[in-house]
Formats: sequence, structure tokens, C-alpha cells
Amino acid sequence: MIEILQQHWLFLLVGDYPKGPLGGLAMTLLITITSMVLAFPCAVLVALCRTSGIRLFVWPSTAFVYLIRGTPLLMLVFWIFFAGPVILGFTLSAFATIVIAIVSFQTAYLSEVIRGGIEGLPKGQTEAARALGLGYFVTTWKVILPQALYNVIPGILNNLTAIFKESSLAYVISLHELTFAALQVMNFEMRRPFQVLVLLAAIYFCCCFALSQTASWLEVRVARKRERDSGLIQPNAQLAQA
Amino acid sequence: MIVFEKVSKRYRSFQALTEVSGHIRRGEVVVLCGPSGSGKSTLVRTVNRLEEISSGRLVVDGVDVSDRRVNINEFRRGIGFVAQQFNLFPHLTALQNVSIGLYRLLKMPLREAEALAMEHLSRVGLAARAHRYPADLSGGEKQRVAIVRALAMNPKIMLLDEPTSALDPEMVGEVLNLLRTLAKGNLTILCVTHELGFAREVGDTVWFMDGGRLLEVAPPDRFFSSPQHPRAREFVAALDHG
Amino acid sequence: MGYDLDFSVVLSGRYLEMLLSGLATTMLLFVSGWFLGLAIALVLTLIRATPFKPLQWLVAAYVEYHRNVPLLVQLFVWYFGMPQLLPLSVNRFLNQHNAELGFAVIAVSCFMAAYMSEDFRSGLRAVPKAQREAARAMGFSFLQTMRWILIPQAWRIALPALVNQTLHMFKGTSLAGIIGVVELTDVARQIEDNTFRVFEAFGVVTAIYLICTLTLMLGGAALSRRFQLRT
Repeated sequence: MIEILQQHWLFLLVGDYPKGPLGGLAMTLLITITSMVLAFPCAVLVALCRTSGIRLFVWPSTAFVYLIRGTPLLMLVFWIFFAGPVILGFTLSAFATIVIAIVSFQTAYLSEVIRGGIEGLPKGQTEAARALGLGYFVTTWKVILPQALYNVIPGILNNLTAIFKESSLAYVISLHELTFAALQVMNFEMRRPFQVLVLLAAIYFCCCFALSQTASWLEVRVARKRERDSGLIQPNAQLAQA
Repeated sequence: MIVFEKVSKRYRSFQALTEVSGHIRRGEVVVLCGPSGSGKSTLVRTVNRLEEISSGRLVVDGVDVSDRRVNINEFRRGIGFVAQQFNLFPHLTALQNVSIGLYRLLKMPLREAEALAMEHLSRVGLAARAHRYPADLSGGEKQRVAIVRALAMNPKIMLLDEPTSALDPEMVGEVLNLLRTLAKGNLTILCVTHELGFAREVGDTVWFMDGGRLLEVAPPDRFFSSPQHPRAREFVAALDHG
Repeated sequence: MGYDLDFSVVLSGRYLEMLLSGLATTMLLFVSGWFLGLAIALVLTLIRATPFKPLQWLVAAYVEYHRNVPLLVQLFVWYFGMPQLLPLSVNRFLNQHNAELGFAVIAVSCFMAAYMSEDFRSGLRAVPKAQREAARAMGFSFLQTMRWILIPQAWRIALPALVNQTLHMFKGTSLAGIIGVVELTDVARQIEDNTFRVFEAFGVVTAIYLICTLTLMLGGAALSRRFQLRT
């Protein structure tokens, strides 16, 4: 296995780059980060819609979340890959396809996490802020979101782990990411596919395990901070900075 | 019925019981009192071996409790135990809470077990609540069910660990009434309580503990009017002021 | 964009047959994978409850592997990797007997078992210590306490999470198409390939998926409500 790694590590890391297109683990990371950066604001928006209490916003956002949760990600990838060009009139790159698919998918899942954070805040937080005469947007922006998002940092990190794993589906549309690179190596190392795949699994494992361990470590810290803070009036502190 | 001979119990560095000696006759009602942390609960829980004793000898109904050859599960069936926090099984109705021991442990046919459980519940005025889950019962009702659950097994001894101290004041009365009827029967009872009126009324003997030691054993009248031990005197004086 | 939707092509004749057999395969994968997965999960939970440390670590490693490696890679390990470790005769047998489907069932059930065993474990841990004590004080033995008092509470606590894993696994079956199992997603792609009817092919299959998953979600929510443990 060491031998395989020695021979192919650069290919698994960056693909054919710089002579050819970027690939390997670097591409997987690029998909992951791009998807997270794009999904996060969308998810906040959907979460705010779902908790807004205004039917016009609640219904469509809820329907969106259920539809996405009920559809396999691979189906979504195929939709975008095959139907996207028909609708748009131009071909989407494989990178754009997988990113759009993961962003739609994770917007739904991440919005559930963020909604949990918003609904988990004590009711008094909104009431106190509104009592001070703050409007909906200021209350949300300066009081609710900072606290809710802080509390769900571990959950967001878990979703990042999920995205990292989901990016492997890019393989099916022949995007040169980590899984694709490994399967090319496997075709090269015909005699020992098992070793190549264990190596691939090990790479995913190391990255995701590190992420999920960080998430559980943060979970303990956040829980402790919440315990310390409970009873304190946080909005004032937030407003002082505003 | 219950004989303590120099019973001691230590947790790592903490001496919970120190050489407690005393005996309880068949049918005797012993009220165990003392400041919190004095070892009362620990002493009660040694009787059915929820706590193992570290040294000394404890004989209950002719059985050496520390004897490894004793079938502890059969032994415990003869001893009712009621804790401060009721500890009803939340996935079972009041009736099932009472009948499960008869059905699963005493192997009574289900129909018979439930009929008997119903009879017990009726006797304490809970027939109408028999099919409710613990979550739908008041604190006083829960504690009465817990007592009935122990009684239904037809024990020779009842151990009660502060059966009224987790109850709202208005519910204490209903539980005490039930305990009064119990005390009149020929059960041997060891009860930790802070209810002095109750202790005076139904107790045959008061055991006073402090710092893990049994300091005084006396009939209730004498104990509350003229306690002998200096710590007991302080304790009773504090009660009179409270 | 000048695209006429026409579902009749997809919903008749050969393609309808393909859809139905794809659905049957997906269901076979899901149901057999679910039961096998549940069995593995229970065994894992039981092993973890024993005081034998090395066994506990083994289970922990199993769980972490399945949680931190993409399901697709797990499928590849089974489908491309395993045959290398198996003797030739077994491989020959497998290739004659729908190896893809067999490996897919094993992969999704192992995957689901890892998550479910974690849910069972936290369910058990969420039952208050006092419950165990109350049962033991009544004279229930360790095993009786488990069977009649702790497990009935633990599975109720774990139920919402178990429903979620079930849903997760059901959607996971869509990946089996990548290793050659002709299930729903694969059928959708094949029909699209043959007819170029993108919206019809994917629309019908997505609708089938949604009917199944929404039923699971609603049914699961109803079950969770029905068996909710109130304290």
C-alpha cells in the first residue's frame, strides 16, 4: 500500500495539475469549500423563512426542505447534469453541476440545523429585543442570528463533513476529484484494487474524522458556554457592540 | 427482622457509615432521621443491597445480605423500596407499573396480575387513574403508585427513602395517609423522613443518625421531648424553630 | 424552450416494465438491507454494552469507518475490493448470482447499522440510572431489567433518529446503480439515454422516490408521536 502511495501520491493529491486540470484531493476540497460558502447564506435565508411565521415564506421554504430531503442526492446530480442544459440552453461544467447539486441539497439540511438553533433560543431573547423597540431585521441580525449560529457551529461542521463525503458523487459525472483519481489509479494497479480502495477510504477517513472530532469537541465547549451564559441577559452585550 | 452489626460503608475516601449497630423487630416501624448527608439513605439502601457494605454484618429476615450465595433478585422481591423520586417506569401505565412485577417476576398470569394490581390501586383511590401514564399523574399520585407497586409484591419489609420530600406541600397529606395505613399493618418499615408529626404518630422507634453514625435510638415521644445526645438535641431544637 | 412533456412514452410498454422492475429492485435493496442492518446494529450495540474493552474499540472503529467514509467508496470497497480477497470459486459463484446486488445489500446494511447502533447506544444512555435501580430493587435481574425496563425505553427515545437513518439509507440505495445494480436511479438514466426524455424519465422516478420518502417521513413522525416517551 505504501508503494501505491509513493507512486501515485501526487496524482491523488492534485490530479494532473499543473500540466493538466486540477484533480484529486485538491478538487474534492475545492468542491467542499465552494459548496459550503454558497450553501451557508442560502440556508440562513431558508431558516429565517421557516421561522418567520409569515405563511407566504413558511410554506414554500418548508416544501423546499421536504422535497430535497426526500430526493437522493444522486437524483439531483442527474437532474442538473441532464436537464440543466436543456433549461439553460448551455452546458454546465461538471464542477458547476456538482456544486449546484450539493448547494441545493445542503441548503435544506443546513437550514434545519440553523432553524434548530433559532428555535432553541429562549423566547425572552426576541421579546427583550422587541421590547427595546428594535425592529425585526435588527433583532434578527444583531440578537438572534449571532447567538443561534454560534450555538450550531458544531452542527455546521458536521454538515461540512457531509459535504466532503457527498463530493464523491462527482465521480459519476467524471469530475476529476479524489474518488475519480483513485479509480484511475485502481485501473492502473489492476492486481490490487483492494489496497487502492483502502487507501482511498483512509484518505476520506482522516479528513472526515478530523472534522467530526473537532465538531464534537466544539459541541462540548458550546454546551459549556451556554450553561455559563444561561440567566445572563445577552442582548445587551450584543447591542453594546452594535 | 433486620439486624445491623457494626455495619460500615466507605466510598474511596469517604466514610458514609461507621459501625452502625441496631436491630428492628418484626412489624416495627422505624423512623430514621438526621441532618442531610448523615448517611440515612445509605443505611436504608444497604438493606436490599443497593449499596454493598464494606464491613460488619447485616442480617435481614435471617439472610446475611453480604452472602454471595444469596439469590439477590429473589431476596429483593421480599423487600419493597420506595425512593424520593418515585421512579415509575414512564413507558408503562400506572396499572402496568404495578402489575409488571407480579407478571414478570412472580409469574402470575397477566389477567390475574392486572386484577390484583387494580385492586391495590383501588384501595388507594387510584382506580380511575389506572390507565394513565406516569407523565399524566400528579406527584402525589405517582408516589402512591410507587408505594402500591412495592406493596403488590407482598413484601415483609418496606424501605422508604424520604417518600414525601419531592412532593408539593398540598400533596404530602395524601401520601402520608397511605403510609399511616401501612404502618398499622404488620409490615416492618424503615422510613427516612422529615415529617415529624408523622414520625411521632406512627413511628415505634426513632433512629437518629449524624456523620454516618447511629447516635440515638428512642421512642418518638422521648426523642422529640428530651433527646439525649448533644447532636440530637441540636437537631430537635433546630426543628422546633423551623 | 420548445419542449413538449409527454409522459406516455415513459409510462408504457418496455419503459414502464423497466421502471417497475427498478422499483422492485430498490425495494428489495431497501427492505433486505434494512433488516440485515438492524440485526447488525443490535449485535453491535450488545457488544458495546459488554465490559470487554478491545471488543468495544472494535465496534467503535467499525462505526467511525462507516461514518467517515463516503457510502460510494464503501460500495467500491465491497464491489471492486472484496473479490480480490475471496477465492476464485466464490467469485465465480458471485458473478453468476448477481454479485452487484449482494454487495450493495451488504454495503447499505453495514452503513445503516453503524449509525443505528450509535442511536441505540445513546438511547440506552439516555434512560436515567434511577430506572435501572428501581427495577433492580424490585428484584429484576440484569437481563430482565434490560429486557423489560431499559430497552423498551431506549428504543422509544431512539425512534426519531432511527426513522432518520432509515430515510438516509433508503436514499443511499440510489448509489447502487453506480456499481451496476439496475435500481430506480439507474433505470431513470437508462430511459433518459434511450429516449432523450429527460424531464419525463427523471420526473417519474423522482416522484416515485418522493412518494416513498414522504411516506417514510410522515409514517415515522406518526410512530415517533405514538411511542414518544413522556416523563
